[in-house]
Amino acid sequence: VSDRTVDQTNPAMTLKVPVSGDETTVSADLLADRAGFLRNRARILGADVAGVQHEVADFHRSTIGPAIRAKAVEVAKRPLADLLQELADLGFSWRAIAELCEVSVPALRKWRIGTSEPARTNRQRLAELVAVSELLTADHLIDDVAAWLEMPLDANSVVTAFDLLRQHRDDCVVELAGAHRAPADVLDEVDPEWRSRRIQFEVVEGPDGEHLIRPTSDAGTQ
Amino acid sequence: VVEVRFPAESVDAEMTVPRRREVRDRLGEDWVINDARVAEVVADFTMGPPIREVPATRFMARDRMTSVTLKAGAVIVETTAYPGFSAFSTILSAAFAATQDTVGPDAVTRVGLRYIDEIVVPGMSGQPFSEWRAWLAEPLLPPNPAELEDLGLAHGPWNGFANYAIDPERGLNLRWSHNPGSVVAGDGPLRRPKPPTTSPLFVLDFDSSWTPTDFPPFSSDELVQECETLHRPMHGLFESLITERLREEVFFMRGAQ
Repeated sequence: VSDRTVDQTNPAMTLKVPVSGDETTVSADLLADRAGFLRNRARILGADVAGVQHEVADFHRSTIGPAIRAKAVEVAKRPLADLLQELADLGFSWRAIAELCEVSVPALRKWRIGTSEPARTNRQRLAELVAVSELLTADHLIDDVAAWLEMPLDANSVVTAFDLLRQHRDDCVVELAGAHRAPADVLDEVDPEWRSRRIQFEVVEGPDGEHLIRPTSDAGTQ
Repeated sequence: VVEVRFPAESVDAEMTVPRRREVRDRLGEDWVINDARVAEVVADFTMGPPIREVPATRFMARDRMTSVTLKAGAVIVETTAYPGFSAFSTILSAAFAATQDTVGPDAVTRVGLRYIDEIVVPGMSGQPFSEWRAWLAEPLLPPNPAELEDLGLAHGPWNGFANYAIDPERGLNLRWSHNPGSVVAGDGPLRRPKPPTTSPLFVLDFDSSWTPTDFPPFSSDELVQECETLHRPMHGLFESLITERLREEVFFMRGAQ
């Protein structure tokens, strides 16, 4: 361990730790539970750059959920019609909003025209969605939230951030937006089997220099 | 794992189709070419995550237990079925020569040789920590005060780190960790000879490296020799960290590990 130190500053805590000597890189997918292995290490040693960053990330993560909820409480005070209109203005379809609020499209229409009121839990969910969307646009400068949510998290996966919202993993969505976590890491947490379901085809450059579609090499050598 | 780093900007890192073929042919007929993304530790990690993934080309042996990965700035040779150092150095030699002739790095900035050993002793699941005393040398065990129970303490997982100097340019980092299961994945591109386990095991992570102070040329023969230099203290160190009983009862029973 070298005697250099690094300041890890964060609004609520500062870590001053020695930087470990450079490490021989193992390819991303050889070590299972890479994060856990490093994190354990850091907790005891406080000596591993990557590990320490994971600790900070953990801390950051533990603040995201409460931050979303606190914002949602504020958002919930606004009129219902404003919340729905805000999501629509951000590019959400009525079908998508209904799905995320776990109600039918006709039920959502009744909210819009004022012939019925959402149940407390549905209204809470709506406020959370507006809160997350506002965090994405204001803090993470994502212009087109609806389109951003529809992009696959990883080239090898069909899972999108929209799917994470559907699973109430708002915290993961905000982490991804802030690049605090790698998409593969989030996928491992929310869908441990995603690698086995990954897209079976890839576009490659053929011998003649033209692009062609073929089964992924992994699938080919199974 | 062997990783040789070189200045990324000094080479034309683009792996064109003919270049990929040439590397593959140098490694052997039965190697396949894959696109890959590999982890890279970001030196300045104050913005964003400390580990990012970068594109790479991975050449995989047909048994999927050995791979050679080329990315901008490094060539990484990994195997999960370690055949012993002399057989391994044959693969190293082919990988280094192919890198030298295709990518043509003009210097070496770091060479690292890393072994991640998982020590699995049958029947250790649910056993108290003190049982590890039979298998591991004393320095790898956690402090165990006599009044442990009086203090209301029970042992949880433990780990540790030691740094040894080989010479001014070379060092060896040793990490050890009591882990609740395998750390080497079996579901990545590389297969494991044996499936990963979820029973408690002990991990020994040896990482020796050479960081030259000048800019030695990238030469296949000299790199293989350098790996031998880095390998030399490791075997003895490993032997000093395990007990005779582990060697005889566990390793011997499974065949030479």
